[in-house]
Amino acid sequence: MRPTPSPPSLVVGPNTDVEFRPVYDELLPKLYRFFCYRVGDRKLAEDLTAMTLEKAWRGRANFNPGLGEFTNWVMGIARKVNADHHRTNHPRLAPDALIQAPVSIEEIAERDAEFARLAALLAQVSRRERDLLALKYGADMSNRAIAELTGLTESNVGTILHRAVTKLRAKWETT
Amino acid sequence: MDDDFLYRCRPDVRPEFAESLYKTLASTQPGILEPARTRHGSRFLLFAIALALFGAALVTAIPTVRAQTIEFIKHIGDMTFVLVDLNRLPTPPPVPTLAEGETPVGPEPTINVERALELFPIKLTLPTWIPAGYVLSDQVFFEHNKYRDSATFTWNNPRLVTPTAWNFPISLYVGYPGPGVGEEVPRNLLQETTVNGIPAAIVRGGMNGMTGKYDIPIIRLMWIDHDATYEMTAPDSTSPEDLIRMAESMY
Repeated sequence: MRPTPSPPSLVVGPNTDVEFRPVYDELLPKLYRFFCYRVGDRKLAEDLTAMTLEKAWRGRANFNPGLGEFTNWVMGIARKVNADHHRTNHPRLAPDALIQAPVSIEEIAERDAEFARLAALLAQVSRRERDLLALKYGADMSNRAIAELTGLTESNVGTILHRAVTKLRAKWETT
Repeated sequence: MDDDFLYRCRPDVRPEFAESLYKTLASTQPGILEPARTRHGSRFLLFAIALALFGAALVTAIPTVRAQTIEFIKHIGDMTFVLVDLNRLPTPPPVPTLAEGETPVGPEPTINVERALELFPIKLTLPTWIPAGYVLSDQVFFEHNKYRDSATFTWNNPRLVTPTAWNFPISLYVGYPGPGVGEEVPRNLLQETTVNGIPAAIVRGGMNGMTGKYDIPIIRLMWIDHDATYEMTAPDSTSPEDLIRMAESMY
């Protein structure tokens, strides 16, 4: 189901009185789906999401509203967390205490069937393509916001996404 | 292009995970549920004041530091620019080019001009003067949410022949309340100007994230007026004077 264009950002910063819950509710699904598409593993995505949220909220005083959007700033942290994960190759990054809720194998299997298929295909595209796919389809970011975050132009973002989706679609239909 | 499968496959956040993480963050970071401004209290304030005094003393005492600091950050009106040297920009991977028959993903859904003007929370007047050959497109990229409304209007010139592969329309982005302007620009490509007496900035070129160079042949005019951020982008064959004239015809 195609969502409507995502909100450009939350208005938040060191001089803004803001409650944590709305920020959390807004960012959690974006981050989680970004990591799902980026690493292809739901459990690991939960760990990386937890780590990003913790870093973002703890360091939010460093966010400068004059230099961009809060959502983009958090997504920048997410990309760094992802890069660190691949660099250090840690099997688990988040404190164990963060992940406590048990989930049945049947439940995971049912929910993950299609995602597992997609994750296998995502592993076959380039790192940059996967990064943009995760930002676009995982984090619901607009081409414009992705362009701002990655330093690409909007047209380049669109071109790379087109190629990546075309590749994925072809593989999706033949596997 | 059908990319619905990429949305359909997105896993939902497990409610148990969401609640577990929320509780953990709340318990491990005391004060997380309080407003941001009140968290660190007077200790942080004292530290910030001391740091600011030390920084001010340093900047005042050492002329070279003062000059570099002033040159590094550039304020134009309510906008902030970080001036950088071109040779410090990173070098990313090669540029992909759009082959014949390829259509980029996006742009996002659009609405027509009349509807965009009707929906926008403040009264918008579109430019009454446009460079010759350009025609207003009736497709407006519009975003509305609880934080901001933004609209991007475009003027196309079907007869424009550019010497490069780039072919840009003239576009006008308006965001309200504005996202503000704050970006890194090469120091020699930023120029101060005014739009109807309001401080404005002209930036020549755009950052090409694939080559690491500031070589996208565009010219941009940015200004902030009554909490609305305006950014006009045009091919670099457009003169600054024409861009300013177009912007001033909105008033």
